[in-house]
This record gives sequence, C-alpha cells and structure tokens, in this order.
Amino acid sequence: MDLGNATEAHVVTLAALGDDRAFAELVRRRQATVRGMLRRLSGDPSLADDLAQETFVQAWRTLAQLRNAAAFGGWLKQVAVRVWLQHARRAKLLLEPLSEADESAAPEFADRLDLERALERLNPSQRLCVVLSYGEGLSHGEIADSTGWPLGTVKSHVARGGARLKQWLKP
Amino acid sequence: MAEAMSDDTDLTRLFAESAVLPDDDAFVARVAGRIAWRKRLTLAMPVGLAALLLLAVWASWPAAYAFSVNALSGVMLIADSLATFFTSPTGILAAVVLLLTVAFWAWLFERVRGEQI
Repeated sequence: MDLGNATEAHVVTLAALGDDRAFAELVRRRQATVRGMLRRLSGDPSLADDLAQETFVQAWRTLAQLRNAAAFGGWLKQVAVRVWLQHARRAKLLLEPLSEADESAAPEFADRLDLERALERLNPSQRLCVVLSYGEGLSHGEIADSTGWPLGTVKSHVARGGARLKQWLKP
Repeated sequence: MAEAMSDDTDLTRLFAESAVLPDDDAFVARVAGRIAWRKRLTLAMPVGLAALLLLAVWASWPAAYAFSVNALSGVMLIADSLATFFTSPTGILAAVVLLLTVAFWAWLFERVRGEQI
C-alpha cells in the first residue's frame, strides 16, 4: 500500500496498530509543523529538533490512547506543548520572566523577518501563548487545556504578548 | 507596516508568512532510530533483570538456597493453614458468608450504577 497517498486518519490508524512505516510517514508529514513550532518557542534550532524528536517518541508511545484518528494534528501539538513545558520547567524558564523594564523596551528590528527575534524577547509563558494562538491557530480554551493554565491567564498572556509583538514590529 | 500591524489578523498573517521548514529525511531517520532504541531497551530490560537475578542467586548460593527453602516453607505453611481452616465447619461457614457478602455488594453496586445511568 502506498502510504504517501493515504489519508492521515488511515495512516494514524495503521500507526496505532504498530505499523512502523505508517508512523514514519506521520513523522514525515508533520515534522515541519512540530519543528517550526518548537523553534519559535525555544529560539534554538538544535534544541527545537531535540524536543521535536522527543515529541514524536512520546507520540509513538501514547498513540494507542488517541480515540479519534482525525484529531491527530491537534493531539500532536498538545504532545509538543507538553514536551516544551517539561523542558521549560527543567530549565526553570517559566520561573524567570523578563523584568517589566526589559519587556517594555522596544528593540531594534529591521523588518518582518525579525519575528523570531521579537518572539525571543517575550517571556516564555507569553511566547508559548502567542505562538499557539497566532501561529498555530488554537483557541484560548485549547491553549488552557494544553498548558493546564487558567483561561484568564492564557487570555492575559495572549493579549499582552500580542500587543508587545505589534508594538515591536512596527517600523 | 504600522497599519498592517493594527489587528490580530495581521499578526496571524505574519506568522503564516514566516519561513516554513523544509522536509528533513535525516530528522525522520533520527526519530526512527530513537524509537528502535526504545524498542530494544523494552525487550532487553526484562532479560537483563532476569540475568542480574540469576547472577545474584549464583553469587550468594548457600544463603539464597536457605532463603528460598525458608520462604517456600513459609508459603506452604500458610497454604496448609488456610486449607485446614476452610475445610473445618467454621471455615465453610466463613466462606459462605464471604461469598454472599461479595454477591450482595456486586448486586448493590450494579443497581446503584444502573440508577445513575
């Protein structure tokens, strides 16, 4: 069977039954999304690729728990968020937000290509919420589910982080 | 640009326009390698533990032998005592009461669950 042309739900079902080729096909299809998201969160391509590998390994271990094969994309993002939060807690990232003075200072960015640099200047909690909201299209409720944070906190992070990005990315 | 950044839609578009990573076959291979390693580890761990246990038994043979005999004797003694108790009239009565209690609990549990549904 040609897995390259199969629907994702079909490939997910095969992978959940233990088909290694099917899981490799899922990695091939989703790697750019997961690596891209983790690069925005970490700002470090090498670390992002390590965390993306860990995301796929955890997904492989727990794929049988996924009830709806069509929801694989969203579920994989949740796994990636969990992996990122585990890393952030180990590295104490979320405990060390920038000071208000650092956050409000407008850095010099040349143009829109500096989105990655602007993201790096947000504190990790705001960066996570902004990337999931604007970059991945998750609703505030979905972000709250993924992170385990209160909905009000998520809304505040998205609003404040988004406002800072807009301010910083103005020419 | 200032106008373009005036609402959330533009921020979303900015994210969408940022560079999309190209597919990387080496990344797929690295993930496959890590999964293969995990599989090997899962298979090898029980074998390794069994080998360590055998090694420990071999290394401490006289003591391990004495421990095994004592432990098995203890188990046999408990099993023998239980068998003696449950073949006595008091034991049979206790077993019947225990079975009836379990059956009543199961019936009650099913009833409560049925009411909840």
